[in-house]
Amino acid sequence: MSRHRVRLRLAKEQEARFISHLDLARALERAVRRAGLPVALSEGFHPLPKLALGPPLALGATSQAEYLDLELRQPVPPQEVAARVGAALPPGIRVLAAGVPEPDARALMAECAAADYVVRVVPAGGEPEWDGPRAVADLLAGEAWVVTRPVKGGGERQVDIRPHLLGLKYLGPDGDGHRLAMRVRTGSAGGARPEEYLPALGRFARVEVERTEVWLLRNGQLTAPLPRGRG
Amino acid sequence: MDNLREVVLSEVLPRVKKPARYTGNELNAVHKPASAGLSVRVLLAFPDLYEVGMSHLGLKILYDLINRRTDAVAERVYAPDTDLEEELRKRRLPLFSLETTSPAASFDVFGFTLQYELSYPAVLNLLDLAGLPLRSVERAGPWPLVIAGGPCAYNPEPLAPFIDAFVIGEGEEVVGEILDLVKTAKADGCDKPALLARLAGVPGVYVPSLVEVEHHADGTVAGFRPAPGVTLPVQKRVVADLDKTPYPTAFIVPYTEVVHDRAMVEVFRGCTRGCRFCQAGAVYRPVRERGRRTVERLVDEVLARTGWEEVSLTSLSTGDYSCLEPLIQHLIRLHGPEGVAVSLPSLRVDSFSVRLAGQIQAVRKTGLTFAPEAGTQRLREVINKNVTEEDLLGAVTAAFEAGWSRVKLYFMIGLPTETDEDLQGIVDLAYKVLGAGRKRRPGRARVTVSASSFVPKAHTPFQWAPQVEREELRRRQKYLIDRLRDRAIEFQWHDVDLSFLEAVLARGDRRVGWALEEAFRRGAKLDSWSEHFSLERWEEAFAAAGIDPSWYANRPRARDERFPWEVVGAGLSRSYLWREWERARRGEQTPDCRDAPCHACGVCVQLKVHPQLAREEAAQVGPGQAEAGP
Repeated sequence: MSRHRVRLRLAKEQEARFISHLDLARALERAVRRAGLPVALSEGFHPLPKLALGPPLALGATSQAEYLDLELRQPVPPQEVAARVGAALPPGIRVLAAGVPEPDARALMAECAAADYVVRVVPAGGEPEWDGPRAVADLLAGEAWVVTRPVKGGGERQVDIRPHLLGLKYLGPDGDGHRLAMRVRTGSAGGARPEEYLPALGRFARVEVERTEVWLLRNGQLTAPLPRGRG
Repeated sequence: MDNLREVVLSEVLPRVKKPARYTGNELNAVHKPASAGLSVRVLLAFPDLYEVGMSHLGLKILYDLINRRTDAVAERVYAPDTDLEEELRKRRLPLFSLETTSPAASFDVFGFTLQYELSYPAVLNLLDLAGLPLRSVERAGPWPLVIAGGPCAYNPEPLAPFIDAFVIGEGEEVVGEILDLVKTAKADGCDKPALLARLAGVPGVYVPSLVEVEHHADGTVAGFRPAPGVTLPVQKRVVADLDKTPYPTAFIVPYTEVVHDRAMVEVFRGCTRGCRFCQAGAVYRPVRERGRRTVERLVDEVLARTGWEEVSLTSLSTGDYSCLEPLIQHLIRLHGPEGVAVSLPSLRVDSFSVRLAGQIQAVRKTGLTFAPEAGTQRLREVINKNVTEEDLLGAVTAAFEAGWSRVKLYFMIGLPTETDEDLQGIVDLAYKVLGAGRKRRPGRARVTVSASSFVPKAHTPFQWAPQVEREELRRRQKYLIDRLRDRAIEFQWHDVDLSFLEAVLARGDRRVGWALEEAFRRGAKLDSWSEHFSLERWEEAFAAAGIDPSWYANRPRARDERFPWEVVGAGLSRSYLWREWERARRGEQTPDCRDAPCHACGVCVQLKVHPQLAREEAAQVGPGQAEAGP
């Protein structure tokens, strides 16, 4: 059977930031059903629409780069899919762009290698003189950044996540806080979440994380999931 | 108010589990701006966690009805989970509505649904979290008006000290009358006594502060003294024709998982099978079926507006719906290809139902549930559960043959007249079912036996019956535990103390309300969750209130004893209930009135309504004829 795939880029905004990854997947399934698209169904007793999401986003974070792959039973132009799904989405979720993945593309999760974030931090009380550029330079100059992670089934272990930090930049002050840009490795070969680096940078009263892009590894190159300039 | 929303979103919700339960922006949630000139703002409360409350149909119906009005808004609130409650109390923040994060106390009406007695502590906790005094008399101003409805309102007395007004029966019509009254009362600047007096004039509304209860020296009710203009009993409200009654289709679709995460279309209301233990079967009479075409249209609409992958055809006994089979076949043909499953909340004990279950995809081949309720034919005749052993074995055999390997059987222990022979009957039935399964599904067949403890309920023929003493219930549980020992049989039973407390509240009076308040002061909140329940707390509370709980739970009642719940009526005559109680003790069955002469239960005459079956409509409406919408 020929597969008709469409890839959507979605925004998850403030209103939707408390929806967990699994809950988002279910909400999207339902939105696609409301949109009345001819989505392919999985086999079995409980057929589910064939949808695939990119890497999970932390609860509470917003995103400009949630990707959704849909498999359709018959071809529908991506712009039409975007319009119909867009009209059916719950509050706080929007379609930003639509396209067709490369014919040889594997599942989003399998190809995903890195993600970009903008993080807004508000320094904790008593540290008004937080020196952002300095903190960034110190973390980048350091050899290791070891964090403690819980282990499935109880216990915890130490992990050096410094190698997973692919980029870090101080963007500048923003209201009562500051903005940072981060590129972090993600995917099956290991990765990290942006919040895990923050204790290396200072003490913060408030943190707002927004994902701005995810990157696929294709032919040894970091590639955007959809061609740029369509959003 | 905006400030509260900001604090909740940025400070509180990031610190609690599953915050999407509290954001109030699920698909189809209704947001009306404060500037919309709304005359009446209603907060609908379900006194249990979001997961439970979001699965409940009644509040969805009221939410839809109220929000259809341009002059009113309904928002929601559920019992906060323990972590959210802690954050709210620590920061001295009030309970807030989900949709607009408004303080609960800022609403005009704060309305609770009462689905089970063990949610009563949560009712008090919600009032307390709202910053309101618990007792109605201590809330001097008229707003928010605290009202309550739902099946437990058929014995309103334990909550009478706390609730300003109870709404008895079906809400569809009376809610509009109450909103109109509230709107006028607000415009008139009514004080609380005047507001309550006006409310007491609405049929179906019971205002406990306008009724004094007199007691005999032995504690039983001597009589009711209503204020001038108040007529007792307050009879329930009932809608005559479901096809002409609005039904929601833009259901709120939760983000997080809830107990029943599916579309619900109510195919009928009421049940006249006449099981003598069943309060729902008594108080929701008469049977009124929706027409098949109305149901089909509602299913189409609700699926289109929610995108749910499953639709449940709900009622007290969906297997009895007159045109169930053609309806299901139509729905599967139409919606199956989209991956939508049809499900039934329960199955009748017969092979017809098993065949239907085989047609619908929603029932996984892992388990089918049947409710024979009692272990012997004699006891099933006592409770008027019209199921034979032959029916049950036929049904489970059909199920095992159709590929199911797991069967669940629901029983009650402690039913009136039960002896060890009846308990042995449960054991024997379980093994016979397992035997039928092993023949057809060798090595795979499993039987789950669930036995709850019987709780006598108001307005049922068993309202005169004592609950079996706790020690004896435990002995009966042990009898079953000791004999249901096969590895292929799983036995589940209920906490006896919870069933005892349920029995006290179910037939309690206003003094039980004092004990409820004492229990709340000692920390009772989410008592329907066994991990939050503590019997010691309640024992202290009963002692502090000076009442003996077993007087309420375990005492046999005399024929002429007046009951606290007789301030309200479900339309059933006392003589019918007593007749049924006598027939029960003689082991005489009473057939379903849809196939038999009228048993004069009193409902149709008292409430001027009639049973309504879709098969009659099928006979009247020829094929291709359009059906009138609501």
